[in-house]
Amino acid sequence: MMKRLLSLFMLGLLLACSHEWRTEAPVQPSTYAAPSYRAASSIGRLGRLAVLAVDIHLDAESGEQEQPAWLARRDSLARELQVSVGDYLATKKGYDIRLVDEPSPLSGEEAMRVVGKRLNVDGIVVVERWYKRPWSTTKAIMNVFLLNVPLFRALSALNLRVSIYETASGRLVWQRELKGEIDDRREKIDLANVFGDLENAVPVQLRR
Amino acid sequence: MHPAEMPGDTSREWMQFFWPGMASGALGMAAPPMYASALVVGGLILAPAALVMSGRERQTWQRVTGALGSVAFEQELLHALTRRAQGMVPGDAGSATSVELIVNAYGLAGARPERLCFIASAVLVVRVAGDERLRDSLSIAESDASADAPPAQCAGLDRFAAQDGQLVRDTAKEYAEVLAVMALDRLQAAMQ
Repeated sequence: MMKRLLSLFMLGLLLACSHEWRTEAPVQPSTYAAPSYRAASSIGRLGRLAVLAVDIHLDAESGEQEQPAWLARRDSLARELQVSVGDYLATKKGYDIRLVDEPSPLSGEEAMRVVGKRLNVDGIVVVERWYKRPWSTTKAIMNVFLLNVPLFRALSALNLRVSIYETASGRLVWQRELKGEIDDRREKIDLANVFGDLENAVPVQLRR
Repeated sequence: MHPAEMPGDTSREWMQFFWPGMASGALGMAAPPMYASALVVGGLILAPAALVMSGRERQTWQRVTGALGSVAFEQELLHALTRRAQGMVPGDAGSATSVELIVNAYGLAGARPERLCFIASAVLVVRVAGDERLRDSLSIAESDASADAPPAQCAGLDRFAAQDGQLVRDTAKEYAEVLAVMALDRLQAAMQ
């Protein structure tokens, strides 16, 4: 019994490293009305998307958050990721992309509806990214004494969340999360790993 | 390439772990006590896991193959072309002009089940009084795609297999419509 539980726990940890959720309810475009050859719940029906400013959570020492260099670094990481996401969705998935410099509304379907309508898009992409400082030697030694608890916490910590909201209803229709602490010196993220299973947008030829 | 393209079933690759697992288990029976448990446990994990993973992947491939087999791509393309061409292309009875759209390939392509792409390619041929006036290739693929083609639908095998191959059927239907539009756009451009 214990072995079975342990195996399930390990499997759960492995599966939890990345998680994709998609709605099963019908997805409704707002900017075009053309016959669709898709399943009603296909995210690709939202052919025109706005990518909002990326929300970056970057570790900082006390007082560092006010320093111009730290702020510039955070803004540069945010802009770089926003451009990469927009570029990937446009070139590999066929979405019409609009990069917008405004942050994500705090919460609520009504807020998403209002933003989507104002931007004249079918959906809104919200990207959040978490960066941690690399582990120090002290932290690594403490991990041994704390029976790997910090390691497991680091492995299950979110490092990326991408959410797509539908303008017509303001509902969340797709979300992808990646887990595992990363530091900001790491190479660029492989977006195929994030958007690989997302349906392509309904082609422009069928949106006329 | 031929219609209904499909990469090779990779489920057998899991079976390469089966016999080492069995061997490890058998060796554990005869090994000294210090090594026996590791070998037996290793074998007990490896061999059944290989069988389970192989069986699971085979079922996934079968769902995708089944979905692809259920697609009547050429008929859907013909319907789309006929429907969309109404009023666009002069169709005089006894006209000496013939339009052919030859499907070269459609289906899934890719080296690994983690990333496969649905591709389709066709050739548009226009003849007037037997003389070939236009020959143009239409391709929706990850590489060497036509300039006016949308990006190819790529995803993992599991994603294509989900809901009995819904994404395969949707993509095939949509590609037929897109190829029809692309062909008619070329025809219109050629007529002008």
